[in-house]
Amino acid sequence: MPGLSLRALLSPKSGAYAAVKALCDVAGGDLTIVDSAGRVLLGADSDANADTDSRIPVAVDDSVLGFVAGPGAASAAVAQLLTLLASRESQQRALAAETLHLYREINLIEQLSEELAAVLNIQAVAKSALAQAQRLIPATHGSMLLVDKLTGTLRTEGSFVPESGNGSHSIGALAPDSLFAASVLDRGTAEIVNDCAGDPRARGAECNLRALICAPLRAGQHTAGLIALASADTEASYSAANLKLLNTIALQTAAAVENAMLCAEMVESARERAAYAAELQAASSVQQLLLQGTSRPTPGFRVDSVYLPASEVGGDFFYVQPAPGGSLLVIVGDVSGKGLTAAMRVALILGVLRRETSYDPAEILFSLNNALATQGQLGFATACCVRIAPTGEFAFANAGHIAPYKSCSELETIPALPLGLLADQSYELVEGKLKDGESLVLLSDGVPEARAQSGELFGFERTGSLCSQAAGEIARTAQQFGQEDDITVVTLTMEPAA
Amino acid sequence: MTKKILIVDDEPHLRTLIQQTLEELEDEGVELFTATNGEEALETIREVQPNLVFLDVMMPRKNGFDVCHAVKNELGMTHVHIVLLTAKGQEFDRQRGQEVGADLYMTKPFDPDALVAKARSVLGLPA
Repeated sequence: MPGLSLRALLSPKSGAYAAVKALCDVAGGDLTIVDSAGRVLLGADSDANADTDSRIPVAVDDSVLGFVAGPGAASAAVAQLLTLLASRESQQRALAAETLHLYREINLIEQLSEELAAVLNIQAVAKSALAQAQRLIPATHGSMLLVDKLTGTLRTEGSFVPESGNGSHSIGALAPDSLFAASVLDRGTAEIVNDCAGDPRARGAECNLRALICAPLRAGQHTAGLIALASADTEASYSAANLKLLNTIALQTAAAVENAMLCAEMVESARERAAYAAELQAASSVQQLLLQGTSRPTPGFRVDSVYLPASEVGGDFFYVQPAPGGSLLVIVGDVSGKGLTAAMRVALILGVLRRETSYDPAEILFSLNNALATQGQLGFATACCVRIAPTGEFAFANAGHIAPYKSCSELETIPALPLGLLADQSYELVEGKLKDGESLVLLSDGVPEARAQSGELFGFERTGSLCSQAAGEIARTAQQFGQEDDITVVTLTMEPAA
Repeated sequence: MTKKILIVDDEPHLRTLIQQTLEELEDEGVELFTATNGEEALETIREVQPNLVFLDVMMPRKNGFDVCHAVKNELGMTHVHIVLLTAKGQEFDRQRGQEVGADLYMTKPFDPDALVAKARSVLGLPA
């Protein structure tokens, strides 16, 4: 027992000194106590070291601490007392050493908790966990391996090897393809192997290890990976206490790993959201350019258009195209879906319209329908297409879209399926005439379906009553009422001849 | 000049633990002293003038705060480095420790390595 000595036991400051001194005095003062090196601790410096055969040893656990020399019975009694006191001191010191060891463990685990709470990076978690584990449990090699969520295989996140290592087993305690690691992960319980070379799972450099201790990183029912320590020391052997300690470290580490993974996922998610927002912004710019490209000079007609997407990019579209004979072609529509997908469909429709050679509204819708239907997976769209002549005569076809308004009244339309649902669908024309100063209003369902916070719909009645207003006024009124969808309004007015 | 450490705690097993923790310093000429209550601590501090005192707070016959205040203020022994060692870890205790002039406040169960490191640092011994 380190630190246990007769000198300390008989220190004048100690409680034992007075009792032993008193006993020696009672025995006549002829007793001499010497330590194992022969130095006199109590009594006269007489022949205590001369007659070694007659000295009575004071020994604890086969370790001789010193001797008592003097008259037979008295020296035996004092030696017996000293042996008893030394034995008790030895037990006390052993208990104290054990307690200090526990203190050290508690403080290192507390330190580990503090360290782990401060790191949100998996490699830093691995480094802290392995460093603290090595302080608590003797080891020459260590590894922390995590299960890759995508592949299900293990990957090394941290490791240590002896500084003087010759490169053999430089991966730490266990390699990602280790059979020891696989079995610990499989069972979900910690394991000690005190004869690695003799274990059938040992492969390659693992045979150079003597003892191995491995614990799963469990957070709830989920095993995130494992932490392993190993020793190449030929005398190394791990105990159940070591296992319990490593399990404690593994529990704290697993929680920190989960936090770090969650944090990494959140960062990744935020990055993806930012990238998506940037893409949406870019798509919005492209869409605005495409729709602006639809505005052409329209002699004899005044065309006002307003497009208010509900988010960055919308699913509404409109297209204005001068037609032969001073006519004008106007189409307003709404594709199914939201966001980038809807924006792509709008781009496709505008592309088809630009390539279209017919100026007949029914034929145009026929072409659009087939373009969407044959592409597949593109969803559907509603649209209303009008061709108006300089005389004010107009014809329109409607593919499931909200009917156009003339003089604040909805025009009758012939029911037809939206575009893209069924190929080779035919659309019929409805004819009418605008007088000078009269307007046709084409809009998307974002106007009548605007909804107030109270849940009240804007409705067709309000829409109809607004139709004598400019396009901007109609759109903004619906928007202020409570925009829920894209809002598109195109007004087409006959300009009186000069 | 011999470097001296005084260990003050009313609980014998804790005195033993601290003493055993610091025993390695005896090989480097450090002398360890113990006291079992506040009054005995003050008496020993006056008598042996330790360089460092590990002082328990909750003790009979003068608590650690009072002893620390007396050493630092009444006796004017500001050079004596005092480490308050207590099971209580509340913030107001730390503040109280600072108010009475303690140099450091450590909580039980103490970290043996930190205790030795602190002693080495205060006594100017190699780490």
